[in-house]
Amino acid sequence: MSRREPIAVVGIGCRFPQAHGPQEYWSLLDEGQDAIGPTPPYRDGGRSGLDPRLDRAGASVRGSLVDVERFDWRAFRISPRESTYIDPQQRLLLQTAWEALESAGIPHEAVAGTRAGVFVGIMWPDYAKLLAADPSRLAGYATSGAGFALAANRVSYQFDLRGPSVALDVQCASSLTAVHHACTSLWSGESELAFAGGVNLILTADADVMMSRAGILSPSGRCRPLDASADGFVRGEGVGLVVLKPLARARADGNRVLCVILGSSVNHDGRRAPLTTPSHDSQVELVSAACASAGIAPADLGYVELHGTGTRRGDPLEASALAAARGEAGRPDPCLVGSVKSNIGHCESAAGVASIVKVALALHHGRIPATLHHEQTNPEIPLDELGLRLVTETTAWPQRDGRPAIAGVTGLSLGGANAHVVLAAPADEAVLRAPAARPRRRETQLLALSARSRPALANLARAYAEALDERGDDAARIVDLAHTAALRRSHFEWRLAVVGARAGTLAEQLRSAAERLDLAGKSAPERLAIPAAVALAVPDAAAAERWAAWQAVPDVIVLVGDEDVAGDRALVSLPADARRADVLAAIAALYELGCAVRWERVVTGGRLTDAPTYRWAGERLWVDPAVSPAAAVALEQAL
Amino acid sequence: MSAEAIGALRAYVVERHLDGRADIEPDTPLLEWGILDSFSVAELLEFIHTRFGVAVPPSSISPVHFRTLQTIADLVVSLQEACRVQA
Repeated sequence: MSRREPIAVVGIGCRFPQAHGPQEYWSLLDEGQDAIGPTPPYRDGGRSGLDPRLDRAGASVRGSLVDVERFDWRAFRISPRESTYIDPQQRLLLQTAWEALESAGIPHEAVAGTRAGVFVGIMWPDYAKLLAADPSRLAGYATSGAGFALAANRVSYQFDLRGPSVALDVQCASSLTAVHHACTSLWSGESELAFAGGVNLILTADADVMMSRAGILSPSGRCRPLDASADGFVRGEGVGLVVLKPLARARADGNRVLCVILGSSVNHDGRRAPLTTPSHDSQVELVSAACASAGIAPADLGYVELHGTGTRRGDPLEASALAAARGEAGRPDPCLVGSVKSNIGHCESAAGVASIVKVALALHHGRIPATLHHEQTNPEIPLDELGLRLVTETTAWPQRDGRPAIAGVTGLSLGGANAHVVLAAPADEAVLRAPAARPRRRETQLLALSARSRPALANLARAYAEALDERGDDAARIVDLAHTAALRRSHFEWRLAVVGARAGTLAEQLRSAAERLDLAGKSAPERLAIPAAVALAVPDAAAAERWAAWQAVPDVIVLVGDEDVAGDRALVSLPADARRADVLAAIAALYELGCAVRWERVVTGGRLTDAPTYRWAGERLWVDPAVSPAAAVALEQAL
Repeated sequence: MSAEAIGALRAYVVERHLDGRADIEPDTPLLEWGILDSFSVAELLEFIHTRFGVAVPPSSISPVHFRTLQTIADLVVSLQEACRVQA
């Protein structure tokens, strides 16, 4: 593809403070919420002996992720023992990649074996420190558990992705740089699809202490971008991946296009400024180069998501450089600016993807969320003169002669490496948003769910029940959910299928099924087993012939009355004069017993919708000097 | 013969490599599902030697033989037979 073909963002997976998934993240931003809270105890088993709440100014609050010690080993088919040695940052990337594929409505089989690239930003080797703290834990597993490369490689391995697989440390510009390189790889044709983003977890006190001593953390505990009382930043944890595809390919494949990437650039300050000081001219060139690669003028930028850490020196420089890049042409049409760090803190190696996802969602939803904690603009930043305006309340995208909205995202790093990405709303957005032809009659539907473990299936069933309840008895929504579950997800070993025409009926069946699964879970440990053989009994030879070329594939088809031919296979029966509901019930039964189903013949109509993503059944898997594995299991069971 | 071997192997794998968190069947794909990997196979060889009195030759350490409890048990049984024949 040519340099300039837009790259579509077709899916998003993410976890940011107090937000799991793009829907929750959008709600948090849209509602102007602040996700900063007290820093939790360090997850290093007490190694540092420090209490984050008491010891260091600026490190006593943070945007935190929860439950990072937990991991769903059954979903990823990694033994519990090996899982314990894997950096939780790698584990989060695995989950996030999975969720990103589900968001994109791409089953695993569709990317397996393809030239899909993985580009992830990562910078802290905290877990390696925990592993090293006790030499007996430097088991063979740790060679693949702790290195940065595996952050990308493990995702490639898990999903059988055969394109480039790269982990990047560019400090706070890591994930944005990862997006840049992913785009370059797509533009050159080296990759046909790419995952891009980054992860940032804070497991030990080390960086908190260093940053606090360097005086760069906010003693008041908030990022205040462009504000007069900006006094440093607050640290944040997060993980995010966007799924990228050339736009033409995304359209051809029927993917949903959330927004497009038009261009990007990276550079380094060189010796223009002292090593850890930003350079004005370098940032001007950065933005100009990114816009040039996007085929637009910097004056066309309608909104820029700043690096915006909320520091007294960094903010004015960044604002001034942006204004200089936009030049005089940009003055009449102020460029809106903002920074998500005001909501979730500075996610360091995941900061860039936090910004990209915010802008992607803002383009998709058609409005820009507010930047928080603004009371009085820093007097060194004359916004009007600079042709900039801070978004302090939800704002519609600036209209520019009917052209699609265009935005920029900046990522800067202490080491002087910088990145900028230019995004836009898709050009034919109106066409894309037009509702598909809606079914005229309400028909019975089949909703098929699956997971790799019993608890994950039970939780997924409950999540779908909630999703059905949310919108009332909307027939179109039911078809969309059925379509998404059947055709836009992979099908795993633990299965559940319900049949019905009403949201209430389906939801009720799902909840009962979830309860039954929970009960079964209490009586025996889960069995990891492949499904047994299945037979389908049909009323007559004609039905046998129709079925054989039809929707679901049992191991053998027998005639009603000849069931003993089926031997000890599980048996499903189709009644004579089967109506649609009977056929669907038989397919549901066959599906639950493990049969492959030709879904495109079963679920017609409907399209990709926001459906629940995998409900991780995580268990605590963590290297912990204080607790032995056996004791950890006992603790887990006691909780 | 192999049923006894399967029983012993199953108990070992469940306790040692799954920490008792799940149970497996004779035909559960152990390598494919991440229950065993190259590191744990090394330990398993030691268990086989101690418990069944046979040393698995390097040529037999392959995904084919270590695919399921059944295939491992079959390997163990065939090695035990070979020992008896030689004795």
